[in-house]
Amino acid sequence: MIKLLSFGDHLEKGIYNVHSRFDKVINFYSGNAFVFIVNNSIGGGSFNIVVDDVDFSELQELIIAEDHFLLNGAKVFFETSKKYDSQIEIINFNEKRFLQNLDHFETALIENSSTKSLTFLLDESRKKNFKFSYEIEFVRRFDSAIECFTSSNYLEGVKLIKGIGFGLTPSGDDFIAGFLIALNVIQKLEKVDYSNLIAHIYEAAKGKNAFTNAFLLAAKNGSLFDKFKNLIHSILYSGQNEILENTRTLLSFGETSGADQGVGFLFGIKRNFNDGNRNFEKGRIF
Amino acid sequence: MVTGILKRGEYFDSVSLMLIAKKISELDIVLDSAAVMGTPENKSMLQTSGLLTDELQNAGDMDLMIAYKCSSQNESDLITQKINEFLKKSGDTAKSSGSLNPSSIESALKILPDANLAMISVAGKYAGDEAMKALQNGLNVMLFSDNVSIEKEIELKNFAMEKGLFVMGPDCGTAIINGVPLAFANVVNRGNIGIVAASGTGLQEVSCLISNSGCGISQAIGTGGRDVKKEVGGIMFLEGIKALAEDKNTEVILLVSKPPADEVIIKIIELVNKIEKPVVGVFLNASIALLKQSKINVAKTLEEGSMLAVALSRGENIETVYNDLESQFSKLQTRAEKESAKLNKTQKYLRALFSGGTFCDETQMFFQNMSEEVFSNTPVGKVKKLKDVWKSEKHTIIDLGDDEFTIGKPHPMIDYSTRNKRILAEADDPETAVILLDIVLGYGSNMDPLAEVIPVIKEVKKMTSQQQTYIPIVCSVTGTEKDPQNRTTVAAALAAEGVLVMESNAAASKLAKFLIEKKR
Repeated sequence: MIKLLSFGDHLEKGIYNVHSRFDKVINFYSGNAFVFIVNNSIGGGSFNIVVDDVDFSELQELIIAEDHFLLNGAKVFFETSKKYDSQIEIINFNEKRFLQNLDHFETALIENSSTKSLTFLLDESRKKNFKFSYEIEFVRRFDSAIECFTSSNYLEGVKLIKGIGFGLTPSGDDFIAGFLIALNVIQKLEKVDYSNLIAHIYEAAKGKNAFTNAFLLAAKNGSLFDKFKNLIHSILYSGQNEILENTRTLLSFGETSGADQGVGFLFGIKRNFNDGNRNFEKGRIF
Repeated sequence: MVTGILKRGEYFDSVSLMLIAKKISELDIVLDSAAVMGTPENKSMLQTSGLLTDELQNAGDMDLMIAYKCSSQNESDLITQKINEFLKKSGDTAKSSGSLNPSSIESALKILPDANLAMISVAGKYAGDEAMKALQNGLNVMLFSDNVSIEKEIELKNFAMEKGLFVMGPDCGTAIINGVPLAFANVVNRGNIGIVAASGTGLQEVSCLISNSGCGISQAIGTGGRDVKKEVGGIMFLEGIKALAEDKNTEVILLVSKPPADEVIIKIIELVNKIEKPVVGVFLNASIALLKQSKINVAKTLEEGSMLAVALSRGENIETVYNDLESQFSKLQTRAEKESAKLNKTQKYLRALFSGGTFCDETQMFFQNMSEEVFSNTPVGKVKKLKDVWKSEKHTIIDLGDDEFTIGKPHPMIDYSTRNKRILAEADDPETAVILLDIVLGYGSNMDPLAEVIPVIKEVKKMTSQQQTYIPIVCSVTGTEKDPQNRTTVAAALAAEGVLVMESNAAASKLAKFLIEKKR
């Protein structure tokens, strides 16, 4: 019997087919909509259904209805108490702690991430890990994109990096998703309105890859998967140890995806928090 | 020449993709390469890099593109063949659950009606119930899962005893039953030494040392570490001893455990005293006052335990073992003296990074009485708990298989990445005097450990040579010639890189300790 542990807050009704399958994740699609059947080690997300007691290798069919879903014909009701909340609530914001914690996050990212992740944007010495011509071009494009972002030429920056890089969700798209999440968080922190900018970046970043588009859509909506939500929560409210632990958990997401989203998030915050006028201590090349 | 390989609709997670890209780039004949998904932007990047072939022009967003540059058609054919092997390996891993896939113990028994043992590896909260179902169906159980409650463990073991069955575990990582290695286990000689162990890596180490000495194993029964604690009372440890006492192929019994509760030691002694076969006991860090009252031949280390068992199985006088250990002692002292002369003033401390938990305990036993403080994430005896497991303090001995390092990651015997990063961090610390490692071979472990560890060792050598320093790396290799990784190959490759390869963790720990003592 399938055990439902949590279900996403942005699931769309429909009949879904298998898009791709991995050990702990089966990606289902219906048109442009995606639902990810995952186990507990992956955790909650706006499009995720987290289940236990399921043989992932046998999953073929998924139907999402109003109050239940059918997985390989087995009917499971959506219990309200198991609905995953992908939004982050911000109360008692302490700016000093937040800024200190961003530094901790930056350090944790650099020290724990894959050598092929975008952390070369935080630590220039990591560029030495990119030796082949594709990789050199990859670094060059990111350097150019950062210049565009820094001069508020966001759409040009997005154009340079969308769809490029390693993995099923390319590094560039992961960075953009992290950047969109940062804008959403700043909206909540500073009560500013970035909705137009967010919408434009999303439109510019969307491609033909429906899978990546689903991730970008979630980021546009400020919907966080739980690894990222826990990390942001710890940056807002906790200290160094918890940030380190949550960074490591985020980094377990793909080989570079977690790190690339993290770098995009950090850049988005640094570039836009307090209208980008704050002097961040570490700064590095941002 | 540039070659492009297009794999339509083949999805690889980013970890696999990076691994494939890494393996391709490591081939000497590859001049340039990339392995990325077929997005229009990636295609444009390949074009800029001079790697976009006609075939790859047609790639879609969800297709995998692999492009590489080499010097000749022959090289290209060879690289393509290698790439297909890498991809097949990745694909096989993903599909491996598809062949025989029963959904319950009952349906598994329909497929294999003669089976007499079930190996259970499911989430801990369900593992106990599955184990009970197996017992009710007359099957012995190897319970690989952890996080099974102690109450459930006791219930299972009592039920098994009534039925005349075994429950190995929970958290039982290794066993060898009737010559079949289960879970993390090595390919060892069959022979007349039977093992009962409440320690996974301990069992692997002694069984390999015995096999490498030319002797062999009749049965190796794991019980799970908690079996010898007061609450469980050694139920299966005692049953294991009884089974080996009755087994006609077992002539010597070797017991391996972290310190059992005193109540359990007493029960073990009472039982062993009734057995005619010779018994050797390695109870790491246990007080030997109680054990001395028994007929158990008590050994202080896993190595000593295996040597005693070997001597007894050959009918030799066990004094030869102590002579051999003395001779080993002098050789290690001489070697340590040589190595310590190469260290500078700031280098004072051991940094031991283990994938095997029992090795972490064994090494702590050697170091706990050092004049400087000793720290571990899993302290035993006088060793102190590390405040931050990611940061070493003075002498630091780490079990990288402990939960805090393995959340969301495979065990460090499989995935070397966490340890590799830590090795580099320790090498960068001017106070590091010696780095101590273990490499555990066999089924379940990483099939290509050299590919993981050698680049890091080279990097350490590069770092230290730039800093004009030297850090000895001492390493034990647990395994046999018959293991798929082949112990001799692994040990020789490590030695060729300047690693001080030892036969056992005990010898490696002694060398590391002597080296630090000589430095003073």
